[in-house]
Amino acid sequence: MKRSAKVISVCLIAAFALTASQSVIVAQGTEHPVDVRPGGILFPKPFAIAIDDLGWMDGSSLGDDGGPWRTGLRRDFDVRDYKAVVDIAKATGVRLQAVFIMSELDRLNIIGQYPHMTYQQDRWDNTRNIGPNQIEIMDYVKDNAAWLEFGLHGVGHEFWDENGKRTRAEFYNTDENSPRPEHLMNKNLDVFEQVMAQYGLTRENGHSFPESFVPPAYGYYWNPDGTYSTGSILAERGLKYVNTQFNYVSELNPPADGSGGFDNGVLAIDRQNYGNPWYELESLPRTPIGTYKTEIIETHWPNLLAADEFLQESVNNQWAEFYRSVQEHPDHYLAKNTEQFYSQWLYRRHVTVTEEQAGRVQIDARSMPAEAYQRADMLGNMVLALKLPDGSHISKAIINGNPVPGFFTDAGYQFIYLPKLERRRYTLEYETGPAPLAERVEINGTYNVYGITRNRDNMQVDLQMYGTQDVHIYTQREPSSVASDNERLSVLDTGYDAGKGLFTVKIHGHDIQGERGVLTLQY
Amino acid sequence: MKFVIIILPLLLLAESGRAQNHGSLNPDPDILFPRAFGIAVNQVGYMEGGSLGEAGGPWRAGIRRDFDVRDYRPMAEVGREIGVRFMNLFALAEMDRLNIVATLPHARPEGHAFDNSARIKPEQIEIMKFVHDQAAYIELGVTGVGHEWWVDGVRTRSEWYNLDHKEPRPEAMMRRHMDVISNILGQYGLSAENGHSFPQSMSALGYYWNPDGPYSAGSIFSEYGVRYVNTKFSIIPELNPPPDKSGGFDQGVLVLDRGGYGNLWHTYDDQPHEPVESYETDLIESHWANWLAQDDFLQPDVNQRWIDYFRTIQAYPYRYLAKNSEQLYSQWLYKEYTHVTLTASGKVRIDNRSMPDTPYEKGSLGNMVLSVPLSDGEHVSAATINGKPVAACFEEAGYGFIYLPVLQQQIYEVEWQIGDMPVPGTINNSGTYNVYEVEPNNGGYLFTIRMYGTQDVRFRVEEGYEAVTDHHGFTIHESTYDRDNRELVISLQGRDVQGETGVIELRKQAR
Repeated sequence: MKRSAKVISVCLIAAFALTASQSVIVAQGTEHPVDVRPGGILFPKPFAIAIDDLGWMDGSSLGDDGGPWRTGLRRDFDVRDYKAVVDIAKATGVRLQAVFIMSELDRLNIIGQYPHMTYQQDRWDNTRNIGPNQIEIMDYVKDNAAWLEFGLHGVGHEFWDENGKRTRAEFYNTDENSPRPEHLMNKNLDVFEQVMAQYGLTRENGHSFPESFVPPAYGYYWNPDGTYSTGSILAERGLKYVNTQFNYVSELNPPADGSGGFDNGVLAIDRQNYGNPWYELESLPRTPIGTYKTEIIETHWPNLLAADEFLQESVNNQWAEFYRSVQEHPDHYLAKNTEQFYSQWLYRRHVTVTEEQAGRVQIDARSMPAEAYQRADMLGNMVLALKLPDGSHISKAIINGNPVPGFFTDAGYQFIYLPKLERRRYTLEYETGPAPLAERVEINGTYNVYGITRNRDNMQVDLQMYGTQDVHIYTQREPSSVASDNERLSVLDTGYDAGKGLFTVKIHGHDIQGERGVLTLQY
Repeated sequence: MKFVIIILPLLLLAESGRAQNHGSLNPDPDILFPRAFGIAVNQVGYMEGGSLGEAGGPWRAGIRRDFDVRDYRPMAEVGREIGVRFMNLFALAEMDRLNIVATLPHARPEGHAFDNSARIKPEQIEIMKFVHDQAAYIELGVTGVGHEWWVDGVRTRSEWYNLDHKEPRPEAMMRRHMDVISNILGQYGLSAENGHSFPQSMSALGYYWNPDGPYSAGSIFSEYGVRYVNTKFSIIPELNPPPDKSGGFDQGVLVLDRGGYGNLWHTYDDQPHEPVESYETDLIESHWANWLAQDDFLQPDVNQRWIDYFRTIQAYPYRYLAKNSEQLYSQWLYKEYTHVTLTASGKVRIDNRSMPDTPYEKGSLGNMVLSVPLSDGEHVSAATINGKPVAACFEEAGYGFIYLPVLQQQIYEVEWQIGDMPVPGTINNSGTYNVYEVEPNNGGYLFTIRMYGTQDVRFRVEEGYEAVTDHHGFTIHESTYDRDNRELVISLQGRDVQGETGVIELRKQAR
């Protein structure tokens, strides 16, 4: 019986009408169905959490005294509290987006020069927090870039005026519905960079500014038609991705709930909370996957922590189970990292996927807003999925005649990682069978693979590596050598399992925000 | 005057110092002989809360936090609000400022290498001063030095009895542990020389029950002045302890079984999960973390949940909140050994002839409590025992609580009336202290009181009296007359952190 293809409806009118404007608000209410074809290709929704408020050294709230609320947990933080997050990430196979407040990591007491940044104003004295614990923490963050994304939250989270009065929040005045002075906001970003530099995280050392930002207390100055917005000053530094809860700045006419848009070079999307309070230990969303209006949801650091170390494994297991429920859900999958998440978020709103003929998938990306391409590195992979029975595999997959960059198998699904899509049409052809593709990259880590090229005597893999991870390349012959075209993308080790036809390459990406390059496997 | 339905006589069993607890209930009483209720707060005293259990060390509080005085305030604040002095049971090793614990080979994993230097800081002084100053609401009890027992770094449970190998700890070493406890308390001035007694309450996870033998945990504890102990009998069946949910005397100390009702030892903000109706013991357990919020700004909410919890207990007809440990253990004894029978309207006969000798020998018996349901506007307007006025009443949650004196091994007759005014010439005991008796004295009164810390004492007398005392352990700080409530209110301080007993004289002021 011939099955009629389900054509994805697209809100082209809205998208076309707005593409000429900086203030394009993309795809309100126009998400595409996940089921492209019954029993066939799925176009799943990405899922991610953002973890707010890492970076504090002392967790206890000073909110009642006019200070920052910090984490609402009376604890002196140390590396164990970061290890918990990394362990959860490892258990879930995801690079978790963690956004940092940097004031208490200041080892040189520089913040006292900027009284609006902390409750102590020009009396800022971080001496109590200055110690080897800070070094250990930031070394750990650097060393675990595979699992923990170092994101931007702020310096002091709030804003203190010349009289010491606190208003919310650091980057936009939500108490008085007014923007903060641009020059002061740039100072905040300068200071954030300066504190990063105290740990060697500088451009000179090959590290980028964070790619992701969550505005403290949802104070985001949304102003896509103006020359100054929170997005404009962030984009200048290289930041790309923002998530916030837009209804806190309703006076700025932000995108609707559950939506998002471009603001002067950054993509800002709505994020909401599903019941876990900001201060609560061991606290997961109160409602299950499938009930969320947003693809990214809010958490705070204590939500991932236990009251004591011996209880942490139990908390980790709860989060792992939660993530497993997401991966098993037919409409959702776990985005491996923030770039992949935001890319899929865009693709699902601007790309039409049809499968009129089983195994032949038409992909139309012509409606993708131009803003997504204004910065070359905004868009990454698009992900499709197939639910396959045990023993069944994708035995062929090509897109416009080229190999598909990567695959990943989990929770009964075969995830297909397509390359970055340009504004044109594509055809994905696939077949299933008892044996998987003999030559492929199986993305078991949190890195991105953008392309794979097979020539007669070499294979090239274009990838973005976060931290240090093994890349699993299935190939029928053992390569005689492997080389990287980027000296900051280092090949640390290799190994070949002839029985499985698996070539494993341990790779280290230097930039804490990810290092891109091409590996060449020579035969 | 209300008529009375009576409480059933209670049976008792006294065998090898053991007793069974018979809690009898009356569904619609005019007077009740209620069971007491108390809660122990276990394992305070650590300076660091993070568990070392998985590494073979003490489990401590199971919360990763450096403790300071803030962590003692919740018990004091809740206690003040509901009028209860909570039994706080200290593990004292980390309070040691002189490294005396290193003289004990088995008290901590490090043995003689124990070094408390990193914890020696002003916060310890502040904590113990607070505990001292809040003796009205915080009872300084003891659970041990290090809670467990280590030999060459290998832990067995627990400090006072080897649960793993089912054998007692060496008697001499037990005394050394008690000496170290005394020494650490002395580091904070809590010594006999300064007028402070050794703690009266102890808990032991592993308790060496041996009432008929030459040596038991009780025999050691009793030597140092301990009167009241709680443990879990179910984990020492090899020692033939009293039945679960029961209690008994072990060489001078009264040991009660302690129940747990769902709140885990390491969980923040965790009240018992089961309601008062389900409690089979008079003393139930809690642990320090249960009383704490994860951050200061959340603590008022946690306190309120505990306050609400205790108010449900006070409102339950068959239980009442014992104000302190002495009162709790006393009521337990009375419920075991004392028969109360209605003889006429507003009159009960109390037969206390079966009370064992031990509590008299050890001075561990205090008030007995009866309660009278009251409607709005009603008060206990008269209460006598053998024709003499009772010394204290207290009204709360729809009940009037009559505090009888220490009962001797004899028969008593108690009479009471309900009216629109409270009993004159008594103390309205809204605090946590004990009032044992009142004697007329040249137109005034002599009240015998056991004071914990500093509290207001409210005498229901007309204006024109003044309060004086010649007891050297008492200090009267203030005295005012509350005309609205027609009470003379004095602020009275008792010196001994474990309670100070003395006499307050009310005498007519000279005009």
